[in-house]
Amino acid sequence: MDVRRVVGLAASAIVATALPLAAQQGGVATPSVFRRFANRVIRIQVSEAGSGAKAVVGSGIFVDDAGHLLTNFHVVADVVQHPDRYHIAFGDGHTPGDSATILAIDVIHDLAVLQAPTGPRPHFTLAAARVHQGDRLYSLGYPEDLGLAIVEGTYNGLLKHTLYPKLHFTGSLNPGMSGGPTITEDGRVVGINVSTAGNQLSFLVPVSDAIALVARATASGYRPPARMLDDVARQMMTYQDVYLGRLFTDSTKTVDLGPYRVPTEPAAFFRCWGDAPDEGNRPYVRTVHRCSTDDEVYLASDESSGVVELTHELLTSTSLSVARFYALYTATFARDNTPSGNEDEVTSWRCATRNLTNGTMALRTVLCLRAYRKLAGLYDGVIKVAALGTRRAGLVSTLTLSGASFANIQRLTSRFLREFQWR
Amino acid sequence: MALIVEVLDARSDDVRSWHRLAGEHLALGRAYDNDVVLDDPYVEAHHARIEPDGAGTFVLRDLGSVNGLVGADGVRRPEFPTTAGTTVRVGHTIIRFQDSDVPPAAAIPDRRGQRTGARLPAWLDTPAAQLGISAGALVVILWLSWLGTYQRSATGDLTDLALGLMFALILWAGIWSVAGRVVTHRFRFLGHLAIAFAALAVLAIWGTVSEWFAFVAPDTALAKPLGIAVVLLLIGVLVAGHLALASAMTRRRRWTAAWITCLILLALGTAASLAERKPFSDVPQFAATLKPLPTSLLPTHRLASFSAVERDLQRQVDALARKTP
Repeated sequence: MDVRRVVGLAASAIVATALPLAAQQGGVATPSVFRRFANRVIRIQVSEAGSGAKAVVGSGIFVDDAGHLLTNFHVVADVVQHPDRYHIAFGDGHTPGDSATILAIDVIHDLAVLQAPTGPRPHFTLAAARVHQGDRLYSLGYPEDLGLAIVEGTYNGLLKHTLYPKLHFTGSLNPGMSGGPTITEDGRVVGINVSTAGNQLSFLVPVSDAIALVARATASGYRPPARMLDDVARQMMTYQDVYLGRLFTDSTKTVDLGPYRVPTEPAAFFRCWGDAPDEGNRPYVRTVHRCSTDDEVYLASDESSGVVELTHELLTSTSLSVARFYALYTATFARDNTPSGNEDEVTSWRCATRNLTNGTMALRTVLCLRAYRKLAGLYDGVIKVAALGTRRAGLVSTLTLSGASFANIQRLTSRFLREFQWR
Repeated sequence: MALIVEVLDARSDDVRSWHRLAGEHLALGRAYDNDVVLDDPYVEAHHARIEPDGAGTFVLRDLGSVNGLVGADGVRRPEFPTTAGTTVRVGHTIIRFQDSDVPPAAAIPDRRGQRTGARLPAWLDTPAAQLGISAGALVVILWLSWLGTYQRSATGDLTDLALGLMFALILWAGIWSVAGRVVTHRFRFLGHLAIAFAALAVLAIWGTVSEWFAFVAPDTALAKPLGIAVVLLLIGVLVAGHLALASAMTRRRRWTAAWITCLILLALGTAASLAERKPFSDVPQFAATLKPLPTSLLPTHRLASFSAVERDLQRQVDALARKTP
């Protein structure tokens, strides 16, 4: 699933597509919801310090009279990455407004609490909200910086394929609405707008995560870290330990592909599917088995992390000669399916290849590793495996771990390689 | 033993004429009644004379000329000894005394008119053999390329490859044969074509060999220098082969030229790789080659051994992370 953060980039062209019908059919309550709560939704602008040009526009809400402004981490990620280069301003959408600083972040749930000058302001009081599938919800924010908008939609439960729950909201969230609230008719905040997969498939951060972050940020004695990126690294480190600790436990499932028995579904929150796409008049068959989750941690505009993906590709052929089959096998094994990266965030890859045996199978094993430049102790690791010893069947498996500690990469590599068997 | 007077060419120091002292005297000057006539406007009609010095040897004596006799040191003197090797400037003409007993250098072998520096075996020097080598090499290259394809039909790609190779190598062989035509007066196109095709076929075979090497022993430090050495060796042989057909060089000079070419290429390559800053890339490079070798023949390592490899990778990327991008 291709999930886009609903963050508005001033530079991006506004795509004029017809709004889905549901978004236009306001229920009877919608105008009233808008009238009552519009003044509580804040426009947040991240600007480049030198030119003053707006880099990102998002939305947010005040949660008290003490100047605590809640939004998404990804709205203010540029400020976290480059505190000297960007600054944050907030307002009602008509004026540039006052400036704010980052007080606390929750990079895993994509939330941030900003500190603005204190004073009485229209705000939402966060509290646990109970909703049921099918309940009507209203999402507010500044889509594409076109002014405040309200979107009506329905609540459709929790996403199943994530470690930490997200709310599934059927309604059109658009870039710029990030950080805005999704509320019930009576103004209770259910979730914070965070991302969309298009076609009204949108996602919200549960209000409980926002309550937890606000509680942490407003606790007496809390001081924001001197360098917010250190906090990002700490949170990622804790998160990946919890997350990766659940992968390939003793009850690892396996799947049979051709002559091979291979590990699948690294954890219960993974979704796996298989296919043998018809590639036309090819003298071989490619069967793909892939497992992934909807978990992803946004770190910067071109860097996501916390992604785990498992892919098996089975190749079989009856018409290719052995030598030509191995040309296909080599090309498949050589194909790059590693995550992309940016020089500011990660190093180049370094890879090592060995012919290993796990006791039952000979495996051509490649480990590619790269380090995060700003988040000490975190790495991206890609383990690629090709099963050796067959003449016209081949298996290329890839396990991608991004934002992981070296110890976890080592542990999972070894665990993963042990699982390969002959059927 | 007799005294020889050599008249030298002022520019090249080559001997233009020589004269033997037959009697006791030898007269030098511009006039035709001299023994050595010097066609030089700076020389007197009767300029100088070689005569006995009374002590058993001969001297060259100035006969009162305007420009006199000047030694190799640039000093004008009325007389010079006639010891072998002495050079004297008479006007603008240089003369040198020589001993008739001095053994001359061995004759330089005359290569002018010879057809080639290297002689090919007769069977190889036929158009049929040379065409056969080219065709055979092309077949080897195409076959190895075909083994690297996995589409149902690779005819189109292979035709493109064959046409491209033929075009490039015909051009290459054409340049060498034109050069050979200029130097040795022979146009040996098919020979040059055979050399180029054979070198390329060997390169293709080496490619396959190195793939097997990379499969059996991945990440070997030796692989890269070995590959460079093989390619340079092949370039050396190629250059020497072309020179054998296109020049009158001796075998020794041909190989010297070939190795100098290799050294230059090696130096350029080294300089280029030193100058190049390894750019950032998010595409990994790794030894991906797979070969159908029975696993019983393949050396494998146990899983436990991989952790040292992993730690080494960690050290590498940690070092990269410490550098500012």
